[in-house]
Amino acid sequence: MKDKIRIRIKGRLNEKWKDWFDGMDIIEDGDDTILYGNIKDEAFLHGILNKIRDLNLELLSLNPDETNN
Amino acid sequence: MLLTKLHIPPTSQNIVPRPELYEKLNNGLTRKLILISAPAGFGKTTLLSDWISQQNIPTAWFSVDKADNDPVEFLSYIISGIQNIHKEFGESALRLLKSPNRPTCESITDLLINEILNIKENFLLVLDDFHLIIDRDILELVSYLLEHISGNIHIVILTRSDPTLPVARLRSQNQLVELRLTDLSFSASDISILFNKKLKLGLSVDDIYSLETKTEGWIAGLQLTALSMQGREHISEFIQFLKGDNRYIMDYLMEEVLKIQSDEIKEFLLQTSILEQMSAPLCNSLLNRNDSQIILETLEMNNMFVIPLDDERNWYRYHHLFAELLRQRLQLRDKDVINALHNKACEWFEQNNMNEMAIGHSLEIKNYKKCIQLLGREAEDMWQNGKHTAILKYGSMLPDELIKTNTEFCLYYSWILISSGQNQKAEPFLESAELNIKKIIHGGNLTKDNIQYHRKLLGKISVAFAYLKSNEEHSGDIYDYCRTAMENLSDDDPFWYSWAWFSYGIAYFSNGSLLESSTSFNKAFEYSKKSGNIYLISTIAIRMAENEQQLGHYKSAFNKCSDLLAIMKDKGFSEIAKAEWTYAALFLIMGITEFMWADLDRGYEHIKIAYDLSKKGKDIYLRIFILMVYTVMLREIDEVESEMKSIELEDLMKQTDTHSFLTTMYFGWKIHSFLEKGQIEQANTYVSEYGLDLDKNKSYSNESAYAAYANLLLAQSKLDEAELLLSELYVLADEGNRVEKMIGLKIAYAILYKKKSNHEKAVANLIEAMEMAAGENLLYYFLMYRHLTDDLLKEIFRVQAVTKTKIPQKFFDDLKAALERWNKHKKTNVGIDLSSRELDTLKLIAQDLSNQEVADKLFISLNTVKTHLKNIYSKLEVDNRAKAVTRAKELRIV
Repeated sequence: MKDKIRIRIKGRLNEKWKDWFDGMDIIEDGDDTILYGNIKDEAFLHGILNKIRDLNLELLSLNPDETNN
Repeated sequence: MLLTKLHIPPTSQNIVPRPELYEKLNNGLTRKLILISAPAGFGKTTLLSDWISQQNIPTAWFSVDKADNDPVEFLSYIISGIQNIHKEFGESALRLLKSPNRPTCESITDLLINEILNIKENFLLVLDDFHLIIDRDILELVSYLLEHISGNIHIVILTRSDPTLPVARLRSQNQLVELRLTDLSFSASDISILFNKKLKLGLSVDDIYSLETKTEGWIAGLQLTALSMQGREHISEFIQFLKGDNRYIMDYLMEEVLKIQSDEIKEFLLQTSILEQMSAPLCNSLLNRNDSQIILETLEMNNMFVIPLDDERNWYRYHHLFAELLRQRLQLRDKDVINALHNKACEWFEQNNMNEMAIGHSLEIKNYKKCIQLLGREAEDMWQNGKHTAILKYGSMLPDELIKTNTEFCLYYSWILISSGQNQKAEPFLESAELNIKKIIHGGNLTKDNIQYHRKLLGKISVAFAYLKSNEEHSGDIYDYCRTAMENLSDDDPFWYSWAWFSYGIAYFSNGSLLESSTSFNKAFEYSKKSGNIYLISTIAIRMAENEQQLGHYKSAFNKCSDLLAIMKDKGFSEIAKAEWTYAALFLIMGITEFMWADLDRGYEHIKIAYDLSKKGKDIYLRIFILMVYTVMLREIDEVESEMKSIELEDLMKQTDTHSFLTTMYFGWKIHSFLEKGQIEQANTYVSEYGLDLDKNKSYSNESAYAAYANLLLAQSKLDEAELLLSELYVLADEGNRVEKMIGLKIAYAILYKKKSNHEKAVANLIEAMEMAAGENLLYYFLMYRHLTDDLLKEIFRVQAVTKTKIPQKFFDDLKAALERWNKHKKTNVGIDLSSRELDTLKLIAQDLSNQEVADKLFISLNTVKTHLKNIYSKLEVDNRAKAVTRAKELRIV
């Protein structure tokens, strides 16, 4: 599972959080933020989702990146 | 054990009353589960602890952390938590848990459920931060608990995400109260109470509504907002700005809160955020200051998300969310400082004898050298106290080469690997341990105490090697290891010493040297009693009984089993024996013995327990063996049930790899079944498929198969062939002094001579069989063939009346009584004698399948199906399929 993934969360999160999300790119998109990057494996993805949960960030959507296709 | 995890978090002074939620929680006092599921910072813990203190409900509180993903740790905390309200609770279960080998956690849970029944009053069991539990076994265990607990205990689960538990079922049974995000979030009026009544910040109605919109009632956000308002003049503007800002609110508010702290406090917060829990001395050492106690208390007073973990205000922690935000900032600012902080924390915990915390910090910064050094010191204690999951976890995190440098850790780590079936992984670690220790011992320069310590260690390593080898088929050097173990250990280490003898016993046993193994097991048993480890005692006692039974010493085997049950009862572990599958072997031995003694009722009771237990376990061979005994016994009691169990047995055999001992047993069982039903043809086919041949070599490993074959030959009156085979088998059994085999063969001889009309010899052989059987009172053999030897038995009873044989009168009396009893039993049976194929057919037509469909399903021809049906009709005394199905249902065959 070496796909790229886009996770959209509500609110603007600044670049400083990059390290906290294991190096995923942090992109502002209007009033939302997109976390974008490689998913090494299942465990990595669950780790990211747990961090989102633990910071009480609101998860809006989660999609495999389709820009490659 | 960290007692702070069992502390009910205190409520703070600025609490907002939530009458509607209290009402909901009160309903929970008649339900099994209260589930409070919402993200971080919605006041789950505060609400619950507030409600508990108002209602004054006895509560066992357990704040879960990541390290609790081990069923043993988890159960230990639950028990200790309940002990805070009921001192005597779960003592025996706790003792079982904290031991190097033990029954499964399910059996221990059964023990606990039973004890909870004895607590008369209502109480709560709170599991806070349950989302940290990801271990499947624990989740299953909690599900099991929820299913079986009595009405007086109410489980409360606080979690950030819904747990993998049967919540839907509880909901439909009206056994659940749920509080979720919408229930917990603050309404405008709650916000008003907090900001205006409690904190006296004087917000306008507009401001309140703005805050509600902005925070969506998120309590942690509201509290941070309140904190960042401190000392601010234009509160309203601040709120309006906040409303328009779309940044991640927590991040923004945190920034604002930190801005108004002094540099000193800011630094304190950031640097201590690496700690899972903190005390003033620890903070002092970390930050080189001496006023941490005052700082911590001030932080608590100012609602700075600091939570006391005990009544004495010794230990604190930050609210998880708050700590996470602080750590993110610290990491951004200064990564090197983080390493230094963890190192200092590690050092402090080490000096204060909190090694597990120290290990945690060393792992955090991947300081593996420090970690293995700490682990080496801690390993024996952890192993002794059943923290096996933790040891396995550390073992998998550290580099193998580094582990190999630490003898102690190698030893205990490999022991646990072996007991979880990972022999190959364990061996290199054990080898390194052995090499290390020998180097030290031969290197000299050791003080007397030191030599003693290292020799013991070598002894233990040898025991572990013996343990490893006893799991393998070919185990030549196991004797050497046992010897080395015994040379270096003494009965000062009863657990290890006992295990060394036990390994000896197993080696002899698998070798067929039953007398030597018996002696070894006896020694092992003595020392195991000294060790007090009930599971070790049980394991050895059951093996001893098995050994005795193999020797034909039924009385002794039976006594060993009942002694063990008495010990278990005495120590309060009766429940374990009834719940734990490893005890299936014990009930099997008792059941077989009682069956041999013709006590059908007790035998049936015990075999049934053995059967039920074996279904819980993973040992398929044991289960098959139990089923063989069970079906044979059931033939005397309930033939329909026996037929059902036979099908189960045959299905299991199909799924199982061949196992020579079992296959031979199964062959005998199969032939016996055919003979019982008079299916000579099928039996012959089976013999040729199996490849038995009269000219082939007979040996210890196949003699039971040939003995069954001899009975088949007799049934067909192929007397010459039978006689030749019997004589070969008898010589073999006699050489090995296998008395039971000899009894069976003598009875077969009696039948042979009866068929040859040599009445005198027939009677003589049967009497010889009885002489051999009388000592252990083995009546079953004579009951098994009673329909073939009926007249001979009558004759012997008559002879006995006039001339004395060597057989005690009691044996005859018992046999006569048993014959009468068993024949009566048989008569009350429904005499239905369906073959397994007929039964398969019947089951399928009960599902409304057509003849052709049945044929396809069973891979047989249409004609065969018709034949089966004809047989079924005649056996069930019906004339069509509908009636057959009805009748079969009445008889509970389908």
